[in-house]
Amino acid sequence: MWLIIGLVAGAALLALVAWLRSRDIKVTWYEWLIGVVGLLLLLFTIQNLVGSFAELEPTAAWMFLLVTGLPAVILLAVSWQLVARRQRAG
Amino acid sequence: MSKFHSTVSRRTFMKGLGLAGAGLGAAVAAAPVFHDLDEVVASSTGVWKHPWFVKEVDQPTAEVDWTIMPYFDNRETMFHTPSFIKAVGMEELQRLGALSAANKKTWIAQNKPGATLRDVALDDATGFGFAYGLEGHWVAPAIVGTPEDYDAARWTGTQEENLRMLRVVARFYGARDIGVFELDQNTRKTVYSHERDGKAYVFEDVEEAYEIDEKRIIPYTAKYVVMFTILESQEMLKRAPGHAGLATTALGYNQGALVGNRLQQFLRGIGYQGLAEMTSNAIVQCAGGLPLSGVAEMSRMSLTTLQPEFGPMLRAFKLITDLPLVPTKPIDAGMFRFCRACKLCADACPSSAISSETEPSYDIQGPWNKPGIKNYYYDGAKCFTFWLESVIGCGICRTVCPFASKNKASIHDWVIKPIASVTPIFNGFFANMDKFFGYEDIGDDGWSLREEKQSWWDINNAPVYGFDTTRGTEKLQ
Repeated sequence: MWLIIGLVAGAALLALVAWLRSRDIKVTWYEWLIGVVGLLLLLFTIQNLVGSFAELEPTAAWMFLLVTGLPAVILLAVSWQLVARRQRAG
Repeated sequence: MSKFHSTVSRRTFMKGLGLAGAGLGAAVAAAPVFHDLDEVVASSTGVWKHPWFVKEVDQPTAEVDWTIMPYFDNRETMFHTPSFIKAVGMEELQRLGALSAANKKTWIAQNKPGATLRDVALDDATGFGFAYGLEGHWVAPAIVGTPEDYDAARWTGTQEENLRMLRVVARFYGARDIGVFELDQNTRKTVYSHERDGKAYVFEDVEEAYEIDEKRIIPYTAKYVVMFTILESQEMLKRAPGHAGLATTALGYNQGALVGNRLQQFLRGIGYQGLAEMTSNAIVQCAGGLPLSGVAEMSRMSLTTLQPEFGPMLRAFKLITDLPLVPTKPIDAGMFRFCRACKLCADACPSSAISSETEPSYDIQGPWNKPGIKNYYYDGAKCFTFWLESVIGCGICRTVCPFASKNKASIHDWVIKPIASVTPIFNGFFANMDKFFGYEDIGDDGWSLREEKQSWWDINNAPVYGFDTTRGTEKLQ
């Protein structure tokens, strides 16, 4: 399962890099960092969500969505917006 | 640029293909080696590696003062009825006995989750084979052939080879792990002074162990204590004090007796002595032997220790042998230190039998405690009283322990346990999060609400015996 997730995530990242290059969009090192941390947190959330259900702990599963999933989405959004807003301004 | 025309050049496309291919190749090359964390930490059959975040140390994490530690009489525990009577009085025992019987009937009539008719039957029936007919023996009965019977010399191997061999055998018979500590002037005190049947354990300068009316003799040459563990179902134990938890406990006792008998016979077969438990919880105190042999660390529950992967969700047994074995060192995974900040078991215990002190101490609570350990000594009388008020065996403390986690969600083995092993600063936070995330679901009467919310009887396709025997092992076909 994780092999497939890794392949998909890797391919998506490559596609993103290619797309950014084609549009000549600049991404700073810290915007990458925020985005990658957000992605890792999202993968961590998914793993624990699925794993918690497998452990018959539905409360824990939903809590992961809130406690780590929400910050993950926020970080990804921040990273995206930092890039997008600079594009609009520049 | 036209949005209908691809902006990817032929060069970039081929570069992308190459990268994807390299990535796939790397993934496939790595994938068969480790399917999950368990395989990362497991090594070849018979060699037992601790999880990566566990350190080996020279002394158990619970401090011991051998100078004040006496030999402890097994008859002093609250499981020995005369001692319980001494603690609470005959009248109280009779009251509790009547209450226990009455509760059982009431709860069956009420269909109380965890105490219904079929729960009671499940629990009682699991006792078949151990308490109800399967014996253990101090000295091996003459069942398997000895080397002499085959005109063969007894087995000889190095201490390492012997330990590896015993692990392979024990794992096959049903034990999860084994640890070894050596009996010396100090550690001999882990052997009871007397067994529950009144017989004394005596060390003598003899070749063969034996047993007579007043005593069981241990030769000085039989100096290796083998502690072994039997898994229990976390799913069932998390429904304490419901009967499902006691059923998995009873099954553990069954398995433990079987494994003890078999190991004893195996040792006889290769030409060595094995002194096994002739009754449950005999010979050596588990809470002493397990930390000394590196299987576990002491815990706040004090009646139960914590193993790095399974926490308190297992049962331990032991035998003494003269097969030369290399002792396995105590471990430090920050678990006893975690107990300092956690206190979830003390908070959950309905009879307040578990100590809520932050610092462990040498002060004992009563004659059921064995002096000499800097520990969170518990009140055995209060504990056993609640066993009679609820269900014999209770186990609510084990239910709420944060180390009693499964390993499907990565938070347990990848975040909490490794961090707790390295530093204590997040321990309080982790303990609070454990409650916040709903791992401890306890009702007002102290009973776990898990059975009510999701009955064990409705779980489909549970693992055989209720636990995952492949966890942390080589998954062979």
